[in-house]
Amino acid sequence: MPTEPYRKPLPAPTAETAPYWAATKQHRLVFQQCADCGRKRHYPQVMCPACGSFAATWEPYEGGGTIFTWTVVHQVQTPGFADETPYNIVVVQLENGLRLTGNLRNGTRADLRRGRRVRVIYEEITSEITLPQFEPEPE
Amino acid sequence: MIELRDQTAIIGIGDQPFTTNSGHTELEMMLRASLRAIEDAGLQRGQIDGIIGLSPSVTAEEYVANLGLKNIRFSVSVLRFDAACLIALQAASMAIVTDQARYVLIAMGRNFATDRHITYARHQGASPQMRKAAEFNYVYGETTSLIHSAMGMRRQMDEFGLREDHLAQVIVNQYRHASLNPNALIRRPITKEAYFAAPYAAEPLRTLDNYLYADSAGAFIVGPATGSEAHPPVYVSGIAMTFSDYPYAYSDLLVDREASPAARAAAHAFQMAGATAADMDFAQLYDSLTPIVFGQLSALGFCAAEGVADYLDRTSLAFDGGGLPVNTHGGHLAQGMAQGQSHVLEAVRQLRGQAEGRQIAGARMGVVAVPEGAVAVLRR
Repeated sequence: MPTEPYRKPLPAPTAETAPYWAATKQHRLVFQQCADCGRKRHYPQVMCPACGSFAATWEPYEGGGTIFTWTVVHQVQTPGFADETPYNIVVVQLENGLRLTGNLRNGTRADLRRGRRVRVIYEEITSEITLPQFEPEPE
Repeated sequence: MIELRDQTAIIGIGDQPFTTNSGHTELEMMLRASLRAIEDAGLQRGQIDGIIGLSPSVTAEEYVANLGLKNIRFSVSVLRFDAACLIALQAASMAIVTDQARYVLIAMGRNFATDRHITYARHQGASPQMRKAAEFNYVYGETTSLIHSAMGMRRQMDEFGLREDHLAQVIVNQYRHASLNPNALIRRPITKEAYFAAPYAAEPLRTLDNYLYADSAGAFIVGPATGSEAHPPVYVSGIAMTFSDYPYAYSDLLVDREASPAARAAAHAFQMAGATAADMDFAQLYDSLTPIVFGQLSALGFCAAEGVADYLDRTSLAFDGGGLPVNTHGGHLAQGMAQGQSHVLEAVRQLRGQAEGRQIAGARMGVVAVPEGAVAVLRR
């Protein structure tokens, strides 16, 4: 657990999103799935855009994914990130059809490319919040 | 069914200088621009009976009280960020053809330079539109639209063969246009070499690929097509809006090419106007960030999504290049941020023949677009 105060933006879970963050705190990834038509969705939202159902379950996700797109941020845009700029951001295509944004940890510049296989890791950033992150799978 | 095509017109325009420190509140900037637009239309203030004010920091009541308008009978709020001016144009046109109003004043004033902290706070999730992006994206450092757009550009490079050269092409062209526009924040053309000398902000985007922080205001008046003799009317031939049903964070990443909101709005607007992309003498394309220009070219039908790189390689975007003039005022990238009002005003100036040193010869019809889903087709 980090001892320094956390300076970057923190997620503020709501009733809609709390189960997602409760799961990441336990180092698990869950995504909403419509209980009627089975469509998966992320971000969490109250209604299924496909069938109109308000019933949803939270389904565990245990796989990895591939890099869908990425950037390296060089210009400080938000004060909390100043210390680690330049830093990367990746959007990862998951095997369940959803996409998830994160940072690629433990990789090199050469790992930042479309299609690079990655796996999910977890970063405990405060006593309440754990962020899912990614690292390259061994090639 | 009531036809909207060519039933209304933009009959007056007015704006304020682009600066980095206006010295005025957004309200005062909007009022000053509005007075110019009313005068330009040859109207008296009391003839304005509809009003749509588009600054999030100004209420319609405040605006009406300052203008002393006693005859207002139509006013709506438009909360969309970038598409607000065009959605207001749609609402105004509908109000006029249904006789809910005769002259609708639309004003946008934003102190993006002096109130930069407010803009910043909004981007940090202070507005409902951004709340989920704050929760799932900002926490990873995807805190600005520039960073988001950088990842969109990467997708366009991977999927469609776009290159950093194409970013330079847009920037060099718009800085040239701004240099020919007396009301631009920067009036100095730049070279392609100067573009590539600028540092990366978020790869592959450089610092020049972000809009210029500016204070600005613009106003325009929509009236019946026969409503004013001060200028030749600029007819609203087609007007359409839509929403993306994609979450903000994934909206520009080409995850579903069929779902492009600009393409859907363009189809409606062109159908209404009885026109196609080939009929357009110019395109004023919302350009808070360079890459969003590319997606609009294909959404509007100037080329296929897969063909944007090829189109740019063989098409001049200059006002005098014989291709497709794009953002002839310099746009948000080089004239300064104005949240879309400047694109509308520039279209009107081009169609009136008032664009001075950057006038497109014989401009008769053009399109104004916003990628999040609003398109207007205007003609003289």
